[in-house]
Amino acid sequence: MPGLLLPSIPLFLLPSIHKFSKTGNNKRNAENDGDLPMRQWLKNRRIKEDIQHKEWEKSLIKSKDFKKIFYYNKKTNVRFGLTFMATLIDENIIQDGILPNLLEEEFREIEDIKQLVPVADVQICDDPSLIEQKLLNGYVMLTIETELKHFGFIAAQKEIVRGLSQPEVEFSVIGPKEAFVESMGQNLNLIRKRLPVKELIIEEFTLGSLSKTSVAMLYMEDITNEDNVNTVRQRLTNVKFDAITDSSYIVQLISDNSNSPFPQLLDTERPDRVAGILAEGKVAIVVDGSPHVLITPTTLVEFFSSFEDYFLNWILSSFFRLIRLFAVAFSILITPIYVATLSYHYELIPKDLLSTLITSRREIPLPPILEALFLELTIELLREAGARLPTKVGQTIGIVGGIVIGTASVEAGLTSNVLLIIVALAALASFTTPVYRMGNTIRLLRFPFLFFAELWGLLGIVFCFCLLLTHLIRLTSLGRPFLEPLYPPRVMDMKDALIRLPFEKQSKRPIFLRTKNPTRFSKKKAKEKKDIDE
Amino acid sequence: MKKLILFCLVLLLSGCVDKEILDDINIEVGVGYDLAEDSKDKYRGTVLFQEFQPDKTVINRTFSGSGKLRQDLLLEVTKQSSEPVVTGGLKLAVFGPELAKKGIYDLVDSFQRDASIGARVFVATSEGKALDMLNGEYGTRGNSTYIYNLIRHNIEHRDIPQTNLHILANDYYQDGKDPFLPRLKKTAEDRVEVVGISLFSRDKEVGILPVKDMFFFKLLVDKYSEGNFDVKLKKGDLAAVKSLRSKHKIKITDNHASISINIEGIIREYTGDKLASEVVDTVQKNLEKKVEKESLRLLRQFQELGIDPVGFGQLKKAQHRNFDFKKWKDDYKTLGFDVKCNVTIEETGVIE
Amino acid sequence: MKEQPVPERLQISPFLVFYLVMSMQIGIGVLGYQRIIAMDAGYDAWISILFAGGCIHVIVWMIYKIGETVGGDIVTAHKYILGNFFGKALCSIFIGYFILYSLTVVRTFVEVIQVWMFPELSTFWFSFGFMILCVYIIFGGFRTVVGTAFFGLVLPAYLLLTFGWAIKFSNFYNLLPIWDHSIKELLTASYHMSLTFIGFEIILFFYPFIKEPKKSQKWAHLAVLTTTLIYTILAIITFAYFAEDQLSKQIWASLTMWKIVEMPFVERFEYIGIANWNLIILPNVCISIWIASRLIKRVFNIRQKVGVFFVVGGVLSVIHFLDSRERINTLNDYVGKMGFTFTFIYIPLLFAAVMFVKKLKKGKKK
Repeated sequence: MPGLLLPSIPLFLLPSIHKFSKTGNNKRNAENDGDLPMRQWLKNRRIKEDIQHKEWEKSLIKSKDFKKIFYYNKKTNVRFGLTFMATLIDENIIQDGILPNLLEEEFREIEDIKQLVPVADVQICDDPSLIEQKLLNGYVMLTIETELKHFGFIAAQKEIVRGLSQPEVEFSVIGPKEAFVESMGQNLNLIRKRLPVKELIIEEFTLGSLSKTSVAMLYMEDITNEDNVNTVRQRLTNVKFDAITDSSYIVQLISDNSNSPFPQLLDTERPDRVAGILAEGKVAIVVDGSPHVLITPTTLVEFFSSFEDYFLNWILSSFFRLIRLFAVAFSILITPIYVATLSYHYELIPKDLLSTLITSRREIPLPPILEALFLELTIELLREAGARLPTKVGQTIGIVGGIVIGTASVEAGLTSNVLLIIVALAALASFTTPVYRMGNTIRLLRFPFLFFAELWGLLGIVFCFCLLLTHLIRLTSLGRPFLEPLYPPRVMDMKDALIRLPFEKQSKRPIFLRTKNPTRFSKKKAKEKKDIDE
Repeated sequence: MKKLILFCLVLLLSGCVDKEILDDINIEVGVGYDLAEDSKDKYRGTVLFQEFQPDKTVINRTFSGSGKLRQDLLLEVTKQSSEPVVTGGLKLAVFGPELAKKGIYDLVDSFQRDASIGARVFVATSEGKALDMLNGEYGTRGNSTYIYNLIRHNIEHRDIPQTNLHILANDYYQDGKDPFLPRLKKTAEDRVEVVGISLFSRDKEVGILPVKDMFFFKLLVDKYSEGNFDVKLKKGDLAAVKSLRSKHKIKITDNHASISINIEGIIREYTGDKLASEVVDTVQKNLEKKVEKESLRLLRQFQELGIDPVGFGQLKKAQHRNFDFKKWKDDYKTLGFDVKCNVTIEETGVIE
Repeated sequence: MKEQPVPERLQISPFLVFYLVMSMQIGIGVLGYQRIIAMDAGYDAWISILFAGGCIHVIVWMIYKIGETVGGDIVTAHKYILGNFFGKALCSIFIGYFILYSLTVVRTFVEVIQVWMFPELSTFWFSFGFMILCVYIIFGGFRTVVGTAFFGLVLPAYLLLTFGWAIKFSNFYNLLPIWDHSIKELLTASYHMSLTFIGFEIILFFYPFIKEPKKSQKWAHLAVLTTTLIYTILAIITFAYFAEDQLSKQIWASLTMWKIVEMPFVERFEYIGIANWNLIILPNVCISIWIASRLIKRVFNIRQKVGVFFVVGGVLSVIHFLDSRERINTLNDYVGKMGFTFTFIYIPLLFAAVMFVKKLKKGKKK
């Protein structure tokens, strides 16, 4: 079968891309017109119509992987063409599923592909503006000379999907071991599997003028508050960005206050967590190409709850949550308190501790603030270096950094060993935060606190705390207060905040979500009923 | 962002306050006051610092100076010290005997005025100069810690009634009550001892209770939570009553105060052959008698000295509106006492 | 003529009035009110606290009655009685009152810091930092201000427990005999106590911001009751802890009481306490600045954001000149008297006037 590469004669610009370079392209059009005589053998009576719907081809033709091939049907001798991006489609589908039928069977008009092509996703449309997008999404376009106004689209995407693996960031010892991957279809499958009800709505958007990323918004109809859904929908459609390559972009683009160090959307790689929060009445956002699914609206305390909390007995999980809370406070405050106490408030130190502190600092030439900054920066460097290196090398760096640098700096008399212990513990405590993003924020927060501790001692720490508190009170996630249920105080929502009460007590959905159906299950039947995540 | 940086810079440059970095200051941990030899100056003060060595041992360092005010003294000491002197770590204040007799109020007042001095500072009087007292080498953790712990454990387990700077000031200002302080003595270069209680009238020392009276004194002014007393029996046997708990109740009528003291304890040691229940009874009775007799003697002694460490005046005032303390001063001299003691021995140890 | 109602998303739940009122009442005064009332009524002064607390309930009731009748804040009430121009003119006095109030609180707090922690702390620069924090809070809207009030009350609540240490060194015989002072002395003490109590009058200023204001009345009463109890208990502990003559020398009795606190990891507590007090006085200052700027908006029709800067600028430009204990005391006295006049004399008058005008209008309708 003769395949024919058909270069196009573009006349118009594609409206969606490169609006600004209109003039430049027009010039090139003129050059291309000059090529016309060379391709005269192609000219026939159809060329005029061809040209008209070839505007989209102008840019695509430059790409090596753009293919347009014409075939003749054996029985009817109809000439039809397949257009596709070779790199995006699975050639096996064309060879085994499309071509044999189209060539061998009776193929007269475009409607026939619905009978002939054994592929699930076959569409026929007559809107030329869709062509480019469909081609770039991995569809094969079928054109037929008898019906120039209609196109058939046959899905033949080549899915290169990483196999399901264990969650790495949110690993849990007990509970499901599946994590999201980079394919949206796969991810949606993981979620749907867990919530096989018709109420789960998946709305899709295409965002990014260049990346054309598919973004799906998931929510439960009849549960999720309409306002929340509308806000997300509106924010997503309002996104103006050219290339969205990961869900983190979405986080920053749609969050209420982008000047805050706090993430206002929770991201997770656990499908079970997404299923859990959907049932609570929140909204999930799945971004194609990202193994992290976003959850919104969220609250501060949610960042300190690991999904494993729901797998453990409520007493244990409450205990662990409190430990984490303590760890956060400890991690942020302990170095500033050290600096404040040693620089200003020697009176506070118990007399038995005094000798330990003084002897350890006796030889140190640096004031406490520089000493603390030195060590904090060392830890940050180690973390940053460890994060950039492959796992095995990273581990070595950790050991080298921790033992060698720490011990050496104490022996050299640059830092006191008490502070070394404190800083190491603080770093350790910051890693207990279940959400990685929040862990980063916490490590950053230490530095303003250090600054104010150096400035006004304990008073400065409280002052900085007031600043932080105000910032948190002002923050909202999707217009819902970020500090809820602490402020505005909602006793009902405390059941799953700093501590987690047993499932029997969780019969109501969180108030702040203002769900349409606030009851999860009737309390009377609580004993027999099992909850979502089992 | 620019505004934020500017704000931080401005604060850093102009808002900073003076630092007192822990290892760049000399923390005054103990202070002793004597009467100055030179009559021009009022006090001769000794300030005790501790210097921590890399091997965690402590060197005691004292500086002395004289002056009319506590601040003069601090100035003198600052001249000699390599680092700025701060007072926030003060744990112990000792007054020499002559000074105690002359009055300690000015100094106590200056302690109170100094916001950096805590309320749990122990104040004591010394037999012999306060200067010598602080100049010893007691224990391995520094003189101040040594004496501080000495007084504290004697308060908790032995015969010193609850005391600290706050209680001293409180007693001083309280009408109808007089302060008292523990009295210490340096017995050797490395040894300090509690040698009694200094009794004050207002801020002047007027009498000293010897060690043997301290048990009864504490019964009267404070309560025991874990005391200790040896009871003599007839045949020269001794019984040690331990884990002693006591409470006292005072009822005061027009011109008579009746004090009832309740003691509970355990016999831990007995030098006789057999601790029969009769013996226990005898121990109880002997102890009761002894307490009653000695307490009464002490109360009379206070009356003679014209002091009121138990606080009868305060109790009397609590019962009368528009109380006249001047009249009470005379009334106190004729106040009658009776002491009723009730001892319960709860256990006698694991053997009979 | 009709005022714009406050949109619902800016309104607060009725129970938050509890935190607002309490956090406005508890401020810098708690650190040293014991001495002031003991000067008049000795150790019977706790009765005066209860009495003053009782009187306040009546005023709170009046405030709610005013709010209910005119359906708005104090400006509406004044317009109701005096008409637009005179009403607004009279209300502008309160702008000055609340500016002075915030000035007093900040300056007194700075003084406490200077005496107890950092003698060299620059009054201006600390106030500057503090004011920036306040502006940040107020720009977040009324809900943020209320949030600060909430946390400013809940987080430092543990400080109350620390006064428990003092009980061990207390002698409750100090309080006996009860009624050792004349009614007149007790009333004077009540008058002085009222200076520590003021702050509840703010209800009259944020009344339109409460969702279902009627429901909030019980919370306001509960707040006043709780404050009264806290003040009484603290006063009783203080009286038991100090001898009477000793207390008369303690300018900040509550702080001095912290000196006795000793924990295994903290030798001296007052430094932590003072630092924490920053959180307690923050709502005091924020609420008063918010009210001042809101009044500016209501009276002069200037944007509230501009008003905030005006108030803050005013405070900062004056604060530097209050450099001695005497001046600060004078200011405190002055503001206290203003507060007393406003809450205990003016509000009942206003109440009577509103009731009178209401009857008058009713009569006209008929």
